[in-house]
Amino acid sequence: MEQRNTLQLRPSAETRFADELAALKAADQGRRPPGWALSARAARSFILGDSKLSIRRKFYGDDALVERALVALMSEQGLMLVGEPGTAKSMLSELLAAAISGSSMLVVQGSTGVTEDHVRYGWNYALLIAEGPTPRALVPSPVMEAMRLGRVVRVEELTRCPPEIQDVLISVLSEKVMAVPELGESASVYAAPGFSVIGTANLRDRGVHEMSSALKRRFNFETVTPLTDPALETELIRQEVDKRLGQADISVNFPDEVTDLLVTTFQDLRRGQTKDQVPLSKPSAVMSTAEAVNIAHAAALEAAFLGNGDVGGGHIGRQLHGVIVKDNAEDVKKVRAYVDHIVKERARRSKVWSDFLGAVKPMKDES
Amino acid sequence: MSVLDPAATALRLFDAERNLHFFPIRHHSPACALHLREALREIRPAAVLIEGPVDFEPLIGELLAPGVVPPVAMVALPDSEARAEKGRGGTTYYPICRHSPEYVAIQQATELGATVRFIDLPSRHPAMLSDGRDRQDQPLLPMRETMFDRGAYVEAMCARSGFRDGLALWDGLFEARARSTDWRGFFASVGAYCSALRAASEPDELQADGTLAREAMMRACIHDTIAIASGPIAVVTGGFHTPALIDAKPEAPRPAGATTRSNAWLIRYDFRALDRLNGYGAGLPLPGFYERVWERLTGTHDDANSSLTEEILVGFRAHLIANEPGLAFAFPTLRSMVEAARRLAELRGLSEPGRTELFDALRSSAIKEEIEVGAHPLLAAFTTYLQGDRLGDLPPGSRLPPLVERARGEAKSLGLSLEDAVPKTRELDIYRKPRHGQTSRFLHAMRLVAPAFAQRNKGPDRVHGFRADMLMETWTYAWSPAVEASLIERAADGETVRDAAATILIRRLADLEKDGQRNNAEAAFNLLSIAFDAGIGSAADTLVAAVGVAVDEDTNLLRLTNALVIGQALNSRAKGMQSDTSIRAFASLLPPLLDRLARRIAELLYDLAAVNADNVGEATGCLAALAEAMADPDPPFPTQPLRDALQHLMTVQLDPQLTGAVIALAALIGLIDEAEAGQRLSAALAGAFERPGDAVRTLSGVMALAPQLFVNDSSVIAAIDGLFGAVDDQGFLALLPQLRMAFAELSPHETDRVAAVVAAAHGAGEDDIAILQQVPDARVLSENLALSERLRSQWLQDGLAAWLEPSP
Repeated sequence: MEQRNTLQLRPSAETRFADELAALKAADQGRRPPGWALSARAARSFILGDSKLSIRRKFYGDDALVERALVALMSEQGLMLVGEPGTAKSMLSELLAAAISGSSMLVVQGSTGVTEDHVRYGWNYALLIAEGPTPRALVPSPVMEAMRLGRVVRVEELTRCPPEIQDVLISVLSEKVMAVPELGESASVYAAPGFSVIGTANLRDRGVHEMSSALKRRFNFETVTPLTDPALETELIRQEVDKRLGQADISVNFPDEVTDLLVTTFQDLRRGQTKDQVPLSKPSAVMSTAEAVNIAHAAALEAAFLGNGDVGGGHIGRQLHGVIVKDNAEDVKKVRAYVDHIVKERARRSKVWSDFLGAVKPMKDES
Repeated sequence: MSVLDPAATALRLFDAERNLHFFPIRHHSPACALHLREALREIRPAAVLIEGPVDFEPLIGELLAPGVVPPVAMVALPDSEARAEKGRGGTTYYPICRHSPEYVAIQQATELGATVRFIDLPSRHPAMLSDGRDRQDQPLLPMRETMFDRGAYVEAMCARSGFRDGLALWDGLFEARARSTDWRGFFASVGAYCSALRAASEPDELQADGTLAREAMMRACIHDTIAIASGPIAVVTGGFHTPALIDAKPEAPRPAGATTRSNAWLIRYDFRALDRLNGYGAGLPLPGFYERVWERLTGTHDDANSSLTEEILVGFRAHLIANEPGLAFAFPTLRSMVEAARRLAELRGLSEPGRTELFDALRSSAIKEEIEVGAHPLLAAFTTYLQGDRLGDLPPGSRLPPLVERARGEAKSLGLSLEDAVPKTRELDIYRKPRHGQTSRFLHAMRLVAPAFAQRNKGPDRVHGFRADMLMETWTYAWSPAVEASLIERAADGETVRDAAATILIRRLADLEKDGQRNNAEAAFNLLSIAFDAGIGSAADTLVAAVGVAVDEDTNLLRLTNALVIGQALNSRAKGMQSDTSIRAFASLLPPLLDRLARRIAELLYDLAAVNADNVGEATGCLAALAEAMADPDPPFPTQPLRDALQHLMTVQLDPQLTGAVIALAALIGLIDEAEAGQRLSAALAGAFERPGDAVRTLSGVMALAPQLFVNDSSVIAAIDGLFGAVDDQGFLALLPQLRMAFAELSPHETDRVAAVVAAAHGAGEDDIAILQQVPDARVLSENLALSERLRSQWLQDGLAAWLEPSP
């Protein structure tokens, strides 16, 4: 897993924030739970920011959730992050792992194709044939590695794993030991202090494997929700877009008004209500902050490469199209009503909104 | 106002030179209460000045009487003219629980022999009525302190210290310091915090919401006390006011109207109501939780074996197992919750878990699913549990308006349980058991006087004729502070529940007049019906007289006929309950009233001849109501005038629908026999109108009153069948909507019968009818029929007639 110096599209959290982790470690006065790289309070600062140590805030939203998550990981329970797609569950799990274990690299990417090898252990078959079952021939899974090293292992999209794989986790979480009968009767890997499991799941998706209640019992659940504070969401979108544009060396003029428009539209449609308590029907499409970032990013790219570099309401409107009209005709009707009643009203008073209206209008005529 | 320096304020709270000590508090805060008690014990004040409306001062003695168990509340009622005036209504509440700093201060001061004074403006002073309520019926709260919950300063502090809201911030900063022994340091911190809150607030707003006027009053009172006191003075006010009071200028005048007296009472209160008030910003919420904290702090409940966290979580689990087993969690979960609460407290730098940590622990450990929009039944149950359900008490013989005592007395004598605020259910056999009848009438009367007390879930509804034959009533009721408060508000209306109810009914009658409804006979009869249910015999005369006026003046036939239905039902009940004295008054007064009503209706019936097409539906409704009232075999009103009017109507030309209805009514009351009715109907159906549909509307009139006439008489069916035969398919399609309307009145069974008769007349068997039972939507059918007809004519034109022949 030594890939620190090779060029990566997206380096791991502990690589990206190595400086901050080091600063926190140096300043950390608190008691560290056994096996943890940082004290719980320093881990909290890593995720929620600390102006004194110039630690940037990385997770926006419910601070208490992060505290509860840290406490859950200190206990014998695993942590299960649930919520709609795009609410930064995976990012949060990565940050937690990086803060607690100093490494977020122990991951099981949940899918229907996950086998027992991915959660228990496999064998190097050449060695197995040559030497028989020896510790050298054993290929540990990330879960086994985490147990041995006393680290946090992340299981992404846990509900997409087949039930038998989920069952393996039950015994791992309750007994904290994994037997390797091939190496002899008493050969087992015991979990070192600091071992824990963070799962993420989207409980809304249909056609996934329901978690058994035995497994649920071993996890503390935390629901990660979309941001409700427009100011926070605006800040987050700005940061993310600036970062992405900065990486690609693109500069555009992205006025505050346009970000406001994007955030307001998302908040309205997500809550099914405008700021002035005007009710509207809520589309079923996922309207996460991540989607908003994507829209803002795409709008900026359009403005940079196809326009004069000024991002306007029209750019947002054209991109919104793609988010709403994924596959649901009902959603189109709902957004049409929103456009007809609320956007039109706002368009009378604002240039940005009227550009936006101009761009979303074709969408309603299409259907 | 200059920005006050928090540090300086802290230093100036305890002025040894003037022997004047300021205690900034937050209402219902156990930490403030405990430190205040310690402080008073130490400084031994000669006078304790408390932020409370000055007109509540006489209630202090009552508050300390043995047998008073908080929660209680001091309330002031609007006088009758204020109630009517906009912006001055609403009841003022000053709730007190065991952990209220004000209550603790009063107790402690009395123990030390100090004078206790209230120093706020009188509760009904204009400045006290302008506290920014959103709605008129919202309670007035002299102790409103929303500035602790929101505002720029609170938000900035939360963001900086990592607390999620103003409440968590307060808990973390101050409640967590309840056990420290340094009361000076504690109040200095509260003072500094409140000074900052004050500095961040808008002076204009303070002017507008009356804060400045109230503080002028407080300053004046403090100044007066300094002049006469012979020892230390303690001033206990909301921390927000303290900065404005420290510099009590000698010349401070009292605002005008500072001596207004009010109609103030001490009443029982409960935690649920208290928590609802706190929703309006009156101190800390969840009184059940903070009372437990108080018990721990004061050692009245010190269980060495368990912490507060354990006590609450274990108690909550037991509560769930007993009351909501579906939500209960397992024992290992309980253990991990306690652990999580402790660890969270540690992470947040608190000495022990507080309210927020308990909620967080529950959320994290016990809820194994996604929490949508932040709400979950378990969280709601925990909130209710921590809210508590304690009901306060006053000793027997407390000064209460007689109405309250009488109501309680009567309720108890009827066997209703008033011990707690939990809703209870009672089934009443109102006709057969006299005591149940009495209870029902009492509950009906209470519905008028204190609507929160009881609710009828099931029972005969005479007004709307719905389930009028039910013999049993089911009620839920609960004695709550809201009930007591309503009774106190009604105290001036009468000494007994029934007197007050009578006053209210008569007032409603007057309101009808005010709203221009003086001539609404139906509304008047509804009131009469309520009076009857509540057994208000005393008001019967007045009500019946007023109802009589309404009957004479009403020109709306529908309202009058509906009134007749109500009156007829009332009368038959009154006859059945002659033995009851409160009902007897009605039994003798009703028949003359109904006589007048019937004659009035008969007069107006003649006008139906001139009814225009728009009002035919309403007119049919009148006749239907009349049919209902006259169905009584022994009607309590003269029927001859009505019969005469009907006889007349049968001879004149009416709208077809009304003709049908009149024929039906005449047949129902035996004015004509069924054979004649059939004849008349057949004739009416055969009538020639410019629109063919009109004849069918006759049918609608019949169906609205007496479908059986149509169903039972095959000559009528034959007449309709003839009508269909006479129109072509186009004409039939045009008739279809009218027919559908008419037939909608029939029950499925009756429809089948008609179908059988018609089928038989056309020589069809039962099998042919069966096919038609699955008729598609009428519009689809008519569209398809039209399409079929178009195709047919097209084919005929194209010389394809052969296609139309059935294939061999």
